[in-house]
Amino acid sequence: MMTAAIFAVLFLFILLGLPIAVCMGFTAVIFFVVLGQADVLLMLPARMYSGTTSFTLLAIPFFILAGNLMNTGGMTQRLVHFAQCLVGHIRGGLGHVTVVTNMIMAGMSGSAVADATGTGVVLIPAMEKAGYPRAFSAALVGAASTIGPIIPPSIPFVIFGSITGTSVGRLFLGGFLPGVLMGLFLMLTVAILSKRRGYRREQRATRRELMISALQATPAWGAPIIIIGGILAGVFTPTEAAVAASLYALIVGMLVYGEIKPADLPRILWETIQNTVQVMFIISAAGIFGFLLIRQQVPMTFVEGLMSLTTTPWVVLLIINVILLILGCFMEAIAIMLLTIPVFMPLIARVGVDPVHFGVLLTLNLMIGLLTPPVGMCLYAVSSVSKVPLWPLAKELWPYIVALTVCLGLVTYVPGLVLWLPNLVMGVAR
Amino acid sequence: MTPSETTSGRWAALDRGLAGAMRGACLAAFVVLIVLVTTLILIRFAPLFSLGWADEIVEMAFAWLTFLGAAALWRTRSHFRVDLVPGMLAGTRMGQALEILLSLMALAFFLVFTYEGAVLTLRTAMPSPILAWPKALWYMIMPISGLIIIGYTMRDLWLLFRGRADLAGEAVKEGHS
Repeated sequence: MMTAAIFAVLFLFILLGLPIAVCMGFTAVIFFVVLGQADVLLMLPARMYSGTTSFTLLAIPFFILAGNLMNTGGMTQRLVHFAQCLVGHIRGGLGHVTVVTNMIMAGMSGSAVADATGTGVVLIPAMEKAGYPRAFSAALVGAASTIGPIIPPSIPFVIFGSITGTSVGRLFLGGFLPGVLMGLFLMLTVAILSKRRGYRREQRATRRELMISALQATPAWGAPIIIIGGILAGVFTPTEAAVAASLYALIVGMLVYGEIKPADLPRILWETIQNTVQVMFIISAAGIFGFLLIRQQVPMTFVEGLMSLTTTPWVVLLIINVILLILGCFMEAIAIMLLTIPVFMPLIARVGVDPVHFGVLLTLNLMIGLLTPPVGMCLYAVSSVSKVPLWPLAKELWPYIVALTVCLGLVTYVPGLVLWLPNLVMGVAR
Repeated sequence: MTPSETTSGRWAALDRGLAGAMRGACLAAFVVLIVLVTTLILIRFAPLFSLGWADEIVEMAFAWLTFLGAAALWRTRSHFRVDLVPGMLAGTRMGQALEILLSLMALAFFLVFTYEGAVLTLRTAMPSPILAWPKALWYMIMPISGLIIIGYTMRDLWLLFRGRADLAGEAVKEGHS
């Protein structure tokens, strides 16, 4: 009853339009006062402060900075050109280019919204010029951008690891194959739609054009090599890899491509600060909301309630997936993560699901939520870049949402897709 | 120039000054973060000297960035929120009433946050382990940011009661420029 009341009040505030961070904090304040535990409010600032002190979370501003530097520094355009030479000749060529570009970009940036904006600005006008409907192009850019946080690096994985104590390195490795799978499913969907709608092929690039474009994009490839290679080799922690990627992106953007001028830096830093604070303030407020949940024993109540219905792992995962998909329609991904992790993790431990497997499937699920109306951050981002209204865009998105949901099903019920690579590289977790 | 125009001009100047100060302080905190975290990583690979105190400054810079940044984003209404219902009711009396209600709820929360933050800051007497600086320096950004947010929430309420929510919208546009 208490669990239902807490979440009912929280969702009411969210739907009314109160900022998410304030929804969490204000709900906690109300319940502590109503339950006669106002003395606990003394803990409010300390709980909120402690949410900002994790060294792992320092990776967030640096991954955002790396993404902003890459978008400003000309890496995105060169990767698009390379992908165009590589797969542009397949039917629906620029559609495949969009997916491949986002898969490569995913190895550099950890944010879907940053990828959607970065690639959308370049690809949507190019696709429109080549005769693709603007809504199709915008929808595809949005769907492909969700690969970003699945292929490492990933801001959601950093947050999941920091809250649950799961190895961020294992999560990064665990996301690699599901990310590739998402790309293949999206490409299959593009191929089917392109055949049905008669979209054209681009002229096949000559070997020389392919070589030149690959050469021009070579410095851009350095970032994923630093990030993924550095973590794989045990040279970097995720936070250190994020710093290294930022420095590398700055050097390439300024000295190699010459597209970042010193005068651009304050703007890039300020944009990074804004994006970081939007996430960090929610994480901070989640500290006090999580404290409310634990004091009212909400996770335990939820686990007991669900376990009385079923103890079968696949049914539990199905229920969790459905809950997350519904929440994803109405809430922002990081907020859902912060709200549900304390509730779901004890359940996951009870039914014996590997936390790395759960972290990846939770994130993939939330990425689908970025596309679903009425609240989808990537939906808003591509709508803003492309000027396609929300609902026509949502209509174009559904084939990709179906494809990604099938992918989610596979990742949920074939744990090997997630666990094979981390077990291979880092050994089986004890 | 009428007295009310002079007053609004002073408020606008105060707003611009505060916005500039918050932006400058956040940028400074971020630059400190970048320099120190990068140096800490370099030292791990080439341990030429020790920088034990840097962890404490990193913690402070990250906290200042988060809370002061939250106040800067509050000014421009840039925090994540689901604006479906406010968007549907925009421009109506119901919409205005909803915005007033939301501002009042935010005000209630930030009053508690600021008060408790001030209590924590004033009551913390222990120094930090390495630098031996008062730990209050780390916590004081919470009541400071809370006060700024309360100020901007009051401004929004005042504009909403006067039916001039459009002026708060101007601040949003400015913030994204």
